[in-house]
Amino acid sequence: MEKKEIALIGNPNSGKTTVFNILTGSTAKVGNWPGVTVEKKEGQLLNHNSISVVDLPGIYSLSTYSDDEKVAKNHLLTRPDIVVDIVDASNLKRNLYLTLQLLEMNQKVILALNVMDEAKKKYESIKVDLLSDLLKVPVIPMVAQKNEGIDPLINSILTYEQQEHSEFKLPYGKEIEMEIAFLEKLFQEKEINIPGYSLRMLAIYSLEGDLLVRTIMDKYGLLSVIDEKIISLKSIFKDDLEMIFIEKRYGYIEGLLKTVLTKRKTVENKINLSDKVDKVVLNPFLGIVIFFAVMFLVFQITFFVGDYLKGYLELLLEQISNLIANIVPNELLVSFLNDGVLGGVGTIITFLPNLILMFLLLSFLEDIGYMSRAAYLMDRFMRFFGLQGKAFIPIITGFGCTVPAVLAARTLEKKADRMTTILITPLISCSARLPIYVLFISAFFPRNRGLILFLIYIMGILLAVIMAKIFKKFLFKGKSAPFVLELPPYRIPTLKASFIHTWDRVKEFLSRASTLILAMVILIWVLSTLPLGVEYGSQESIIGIIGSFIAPALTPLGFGTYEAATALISGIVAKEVVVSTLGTIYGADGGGLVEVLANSWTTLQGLSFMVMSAIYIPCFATLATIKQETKSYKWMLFAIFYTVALGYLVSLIIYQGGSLLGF
Amino acid sequence: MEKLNVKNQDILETIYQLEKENGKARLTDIAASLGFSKSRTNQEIRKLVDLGLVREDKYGPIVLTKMGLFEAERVVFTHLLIMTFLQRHLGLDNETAEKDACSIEHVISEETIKAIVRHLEESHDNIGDFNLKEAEEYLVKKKRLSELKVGQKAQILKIDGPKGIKKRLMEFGVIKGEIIELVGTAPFGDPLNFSLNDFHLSLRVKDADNIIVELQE
Ligand SMILES: Nc1nc2c(ncn2[C@@H]2O[C@H](COP(=O)(O)OP(=O)(O)O)[C@@H](O)[C@H]2O)c(=O)[nH]1
Repeated sequence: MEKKEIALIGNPNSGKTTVFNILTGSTAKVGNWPGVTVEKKEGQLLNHNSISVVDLPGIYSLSTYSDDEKVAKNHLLTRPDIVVDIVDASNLKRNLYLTLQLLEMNQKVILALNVMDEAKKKYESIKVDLLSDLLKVPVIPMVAQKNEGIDPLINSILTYEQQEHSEFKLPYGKEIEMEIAFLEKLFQEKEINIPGYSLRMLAIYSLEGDLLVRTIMDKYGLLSVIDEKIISLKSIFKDDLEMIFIEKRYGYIEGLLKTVLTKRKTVENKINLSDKVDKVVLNPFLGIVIFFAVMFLVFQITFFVGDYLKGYLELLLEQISNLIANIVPNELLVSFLNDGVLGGVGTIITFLPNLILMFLLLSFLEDIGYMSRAAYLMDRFMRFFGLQGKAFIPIITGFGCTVPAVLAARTLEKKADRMTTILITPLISCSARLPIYVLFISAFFPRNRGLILFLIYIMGILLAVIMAKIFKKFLFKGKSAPFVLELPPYRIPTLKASFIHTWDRVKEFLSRASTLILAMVILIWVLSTLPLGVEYGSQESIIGIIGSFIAPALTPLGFGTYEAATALISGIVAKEVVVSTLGTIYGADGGGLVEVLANSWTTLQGLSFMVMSAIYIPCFATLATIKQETKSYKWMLFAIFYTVALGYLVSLIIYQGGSLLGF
Repeated sequence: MEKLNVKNQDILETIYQLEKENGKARLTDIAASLGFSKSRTNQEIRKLVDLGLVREDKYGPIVLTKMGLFEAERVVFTHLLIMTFLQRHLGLDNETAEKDACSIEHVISEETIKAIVRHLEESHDNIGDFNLKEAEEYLVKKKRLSELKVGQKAQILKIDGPKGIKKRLMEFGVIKGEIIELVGTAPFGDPLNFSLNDFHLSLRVKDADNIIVELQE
């Protein structure tokens, strides 16, 4: 069978990710706040391998402001076989704006009328067939969350070509239509034929001042004719023509909804419930208290429950290690398996309970819709340091993993905001740094774990905002984009979605842990064992030699030892490797490593080292992402340089300051 | 936005009068009618440009933006209202009324304006060229979106401001004729949380400044 492509598009929070997951059976991210889908995702339609499904970024319009909108628009210009437009039926007016833009592009649209459950509470009736007749597209009512309407949607996709389709034309009124007709005729005479565009679309885009179409028209030497038309229409309407087009579209939607919708006299409580909750959650005073309480709770739960589970995993690892020592005859092999493999990956695995809990809690907050509230509450604070509330999104994602965080910066419309955010997200403590914190906090601050962990996260945030301010001031001048943020209604997430979401992130962590880390741990084991005959990881081993070479530079920071230097070097690959390297070098893991550290380092040294490893060079994966997003090695190198310098500086202050104070 | 100071308001008023009388306002005329030097006037006008109230085309006249016109009319109406009250109800002579109105117009509270409007309404008075209904609309009902109080509903009349921001807002459904309600404010009163159609939308005060609305009962 011939290959076909379906593109999914829709406003943020319309249920697009949910639909994508059902259609493809895959486990892509589901979230309840604007801007979660950053790049196109691709999957296969379940049971129909010849049909691929592309999930485009959630956007409100196709006017090419943000990168998200550009990605979506450029993809649409490649003319997918079918475009499934996911529309939130409880918020039809604004959602249909994008739909009209799609129809004007002559896309082959199927309208998926999602969130019908909530819409039914608001409206007496929604005349689905009438909507379908007026827009001239198939309309499928759905409740994606409950799997309702999926079969009809798939059916409509499969039979799309057999159905009849006629072209949709939005009437813009006499004056504008006259000019559209004039331009269409002109383009026809000049034999302008641009793949992806119809003549009417070209005419409308020309009048709207679409940048891409303008450059095309410039090539044909038609810009002056078009500008003349724009100016004459502008003088009729006494406003910018682009705005008139927007008003006309909304005018059309208004008329459409009058015939299609019947409002209920009294709206049921469910909808007002969201507002009631917001009265408390968004209260200027309570809101902030709740925000910090929520964040603090997330960290505390992660630890109390996580540590409990961790104990069992450690026991298990110990058993395996004993077993290996008993049954494997060769001493070198035992060392390889226990010190290399188990000591490294085993250590990472014992931190899984903490990570899973943290992911679960954060994704739950995301799915119920709290995160955009957080962005709203934090906007004033973010702005204090030159960023906007939306930058909060990449930053909070950065607590999970810096890679998606850097990617999420794309939702920021202005380059200055985006670059600044990309450069500071590595300062936010990602989950891979958690093992380091847990290790050092367990070793040196056993009585104040939650507090110290909270403080080190706060330190990351503070450094990020300070650096943001500096970057904004000296590197990226320019005004910030308008702050237009939707606060979606609270939705009870399906537990399944939260688990899928968590599993996704854990999988990512595990796949990195198993491949990259295993490779690194084995490399470190080799470097520590060679040349044959030296004591494992001692100063005579290769890694000891490298570490010793660098160590003197770290002496002012309190940890000028080859052990510390070696761990930092290997941590560039991925931060969690710092822990496994220390484990390998000291020949201990889990609780044993905690003990070794507590006995051989002072508290101040431990603190200084922990701070350094929190700040210095993000992992290879992050560096690669920064390169990809900034499209330049320069910024990647800059990220390396400034994080090392900053880490050095802060550790220096902590160690020297602490020593002076007599700690 | 921050409250306009006396000087800002006086200049807006002057430009408004000049535009009305001569069709356009030139820097020299503005300076002359305020009794300022040209460079001082220029400085003050820069400030208004930054506030988005005035546009200055190269070598062309100085033009009020939609927001500028809105602010200017506010001052002019307030002035007329006070004048009428002082002359007809307190029996002051034209010169004193004019002089005092010039000072009072900058500091008078909305409550007092409402009270004067009510009082004049009872005595069926009209002020200047405008009738009371119109004056009331300007002084009591028309507001910047950022001036709404929590719980107030208003209809959107005009959207001004930089083109990019304006387009962004309009595509979001912030368009003429829509009813918008201020639901709450974030810490420190910014950003603002509005409900519009079927959704909640958060805007910064700075952007809400550029939207003129009419209060609904
Ligand atoms: N009430 C209701 N909620 C839904 C429906 N479809 C999805 N949701 C929820 O809406 C939220 C946002 O969905 P998501 O798929 O992340 O939307 P996206 O932002 O468009 O990708 C999630 O909490 C979903 O569980 C639906 O049909 N009805």
